[in-house]
Amino acid sequence: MFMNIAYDEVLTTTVSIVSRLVKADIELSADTDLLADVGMTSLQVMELVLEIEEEFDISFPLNRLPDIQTIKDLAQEIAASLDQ
Amino acid sequence: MSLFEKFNRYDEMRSYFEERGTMPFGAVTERSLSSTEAIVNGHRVILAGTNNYLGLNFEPEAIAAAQGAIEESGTGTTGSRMANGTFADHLMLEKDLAEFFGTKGAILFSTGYSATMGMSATLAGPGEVTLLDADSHASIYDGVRLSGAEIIRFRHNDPADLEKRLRRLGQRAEKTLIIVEGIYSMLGDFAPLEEIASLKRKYGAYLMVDEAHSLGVMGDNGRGAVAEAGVEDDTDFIVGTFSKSLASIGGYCVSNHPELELVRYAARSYIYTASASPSVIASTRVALKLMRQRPELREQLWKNAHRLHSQLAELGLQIESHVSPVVAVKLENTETAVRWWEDLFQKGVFVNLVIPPASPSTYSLLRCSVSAAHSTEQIQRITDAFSTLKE
Repeated sequence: MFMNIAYDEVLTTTVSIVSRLVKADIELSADTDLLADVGMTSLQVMELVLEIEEEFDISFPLNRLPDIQTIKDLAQEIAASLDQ
Repeated sequence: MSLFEKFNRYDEMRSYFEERGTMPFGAVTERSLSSTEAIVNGHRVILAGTNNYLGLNFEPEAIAAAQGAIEESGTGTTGSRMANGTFADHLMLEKDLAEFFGTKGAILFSTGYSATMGMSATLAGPGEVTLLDADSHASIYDGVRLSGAEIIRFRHNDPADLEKRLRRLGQRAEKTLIIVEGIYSMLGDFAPLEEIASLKRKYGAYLMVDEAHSLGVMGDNGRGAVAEAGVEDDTDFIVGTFSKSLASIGGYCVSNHPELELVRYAARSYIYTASASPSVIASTRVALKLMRQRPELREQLWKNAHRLHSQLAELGLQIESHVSPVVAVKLENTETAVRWWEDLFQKGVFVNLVIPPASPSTYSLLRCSVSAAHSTEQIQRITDAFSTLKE
């Protein structure tokens, strides 16, 4: 279902999932830093991974988490997984 | 800025407890009075948070065996199993374990942590996959991080979610290690092993089960959750610890795969650490024998577990619906959990305080573990102490 999904759509969906999980005072964008700007806890990050896996029907390896700082990083990883 | 800045949050937590004049983490057992009572932090308490499921830590035969081993073989091996640290007794315990589990092989590790961590780090490697239950023990998470394998979590105790992930892996499922635990340490809940084993078979993956909390507690002769579920043939590796039901220290892995012998050359936590001391091996061998000879210990453990579970449930505390030797009281508010831990302690009951992020979610736990050695009166005293707590 998501095989040819455009990156922009992935980004929009990712922003929506993050905003559902955290009550951030700032407007979320591609450049929002998940830790520095939103202050996600480790438990919230794990929940985020599960939500994303559910939404996009992918398995997101934990090994990739250290490379992800911003929502854009996350969306790019998801898009790459969908392309595989 | 300093190297130690990241430790500030621990310092804050430590100061918080110091100001309250309490010490739930790293409490000092000043004197052991029995398997179920001790002087801890200056107070006489019932031990209701020790994982001493069968109460075998003061068995005269095990103590005598440990003393004899010290006199005969000294206090320590002073080396790794791969160098000078393989004594005849290590091989005998490995033989005992293989015979007990009915497997072709067994290897010992110096702690339960190094067994679980070492096997998790060694079995699946780069280019392969480890699928682990989200609530896995820290030793499993630490191991898989070292492994170089792709690490994928599945929702806790959720075979449907596990299957989704196996399906997505396609052919790679055949080079995938699934890791679950027989009993999960925090809430005492059980893995749905029959369903997990069936998925393992369907997708051609490998299965490792950590029996740290289920050895001696479940299954025929106390062989664990795998034996109770009847999935021995589908379980590729069982890992576990001697530090709970067997009341010593050390870990093991048993398997029917002949390649288990090769793990000795690959598992760094096996190679680069000193082997267990002779006294530890001696008491473990006796405890393993006693566990098999005394099924009544397991029966008593479950009677006590049912008793504490029903009594705490009657008090209206938030506990899991399943009965298990681990009975965890959930509290949404961490401050309340701390205060309740202190009140219980003052009333002579020692339980484990678990606060986020160590707990599985945002709640805190007052985690009780039951022992076969607890008397009915002690279980009642634990309940009475809980009954006086107020929000």
